[in-house]
Amino acid sequence: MTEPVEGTRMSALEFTLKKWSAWSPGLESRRHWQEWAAGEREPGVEGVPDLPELKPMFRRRLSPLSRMALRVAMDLRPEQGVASVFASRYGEMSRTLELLRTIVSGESVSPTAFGLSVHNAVSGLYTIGSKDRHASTAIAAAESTFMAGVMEAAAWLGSGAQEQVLLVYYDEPLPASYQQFADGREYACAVGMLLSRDGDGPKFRISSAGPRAARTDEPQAITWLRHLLQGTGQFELGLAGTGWHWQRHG
Amino acid sequence: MNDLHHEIKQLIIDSLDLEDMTPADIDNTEPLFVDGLGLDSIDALELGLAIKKQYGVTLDASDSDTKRHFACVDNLVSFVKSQQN
Repeated sequence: MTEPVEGTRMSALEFTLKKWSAWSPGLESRRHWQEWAAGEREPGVEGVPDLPELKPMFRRRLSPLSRMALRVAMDLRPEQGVASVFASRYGEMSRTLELLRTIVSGESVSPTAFGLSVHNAVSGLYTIGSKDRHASTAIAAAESTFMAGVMEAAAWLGSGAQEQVLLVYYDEPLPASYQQFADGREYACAVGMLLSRDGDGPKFRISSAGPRAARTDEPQAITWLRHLLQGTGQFELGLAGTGWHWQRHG
Repeated sequence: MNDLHHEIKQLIIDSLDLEDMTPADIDNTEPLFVDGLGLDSIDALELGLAIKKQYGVTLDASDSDTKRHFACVDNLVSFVKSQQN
């Protein structure tokens, strides 16, 4: 492999993983995820996490998908709040499909369903529900969604804009009508990381590894979590046609 | 409690996902929004739509009376009755 010409090379991004959390039906604790990474447990299909931190009047509008994302966000958020990146490939696709069906049938759409179908709905729910006034954004980038979220969060740290960033990836299987577009194994899951510029926890260095074909046999966040739990020292994840090399220290 | 009161309370519970409530929990004169039941502006839109669908009444968001009609269950019942006659 030839080294890129000096000056055009993209510098590496580095961060510390302060905390992580994940939730999927049937994989509801760190022990469950450890067993999953060891091949001893499979995710289930139905179930929603509890959110006792949020008021019932707030919780009532949450979809199973947004409940998973918020569970992970609440697990990781520091008391003083934190900037957040919410990454989802499909977002609230089930709600969107329901809205489209309502429009086709000629009926008026539900304002609540419309408001909560947008891609930054979970970002809004998180900041309102936790009264967190830090910056928050929402990302979708096809099969590279998780990596795009990591890149955004790491860039916030690298630019000095934030000391730490909460990243939450969340998705659920496509509704039956869209199944023909599914290109790999689908999970209902949320995977979260609290990234920091320094501090205690595993340190990661991410650098460009050249052009790569997209790999979509499972969500990237699931691949990443398996590497984390198995303690893999080096691995690669793609982002829009480029491979990104991950190196773990500690 | 007459039937329309009960019906409108059930409509409020169903359309706004107030899963843990029963019609008996909602007072006829208690404010629906902010204080009292604690509904918000999205609920106002959602409830307006549900009332429109169920009773075929027309609601005008710019009409200053609309806010009064939605103040409590008693007012909603009077409003629906007045539109049906």
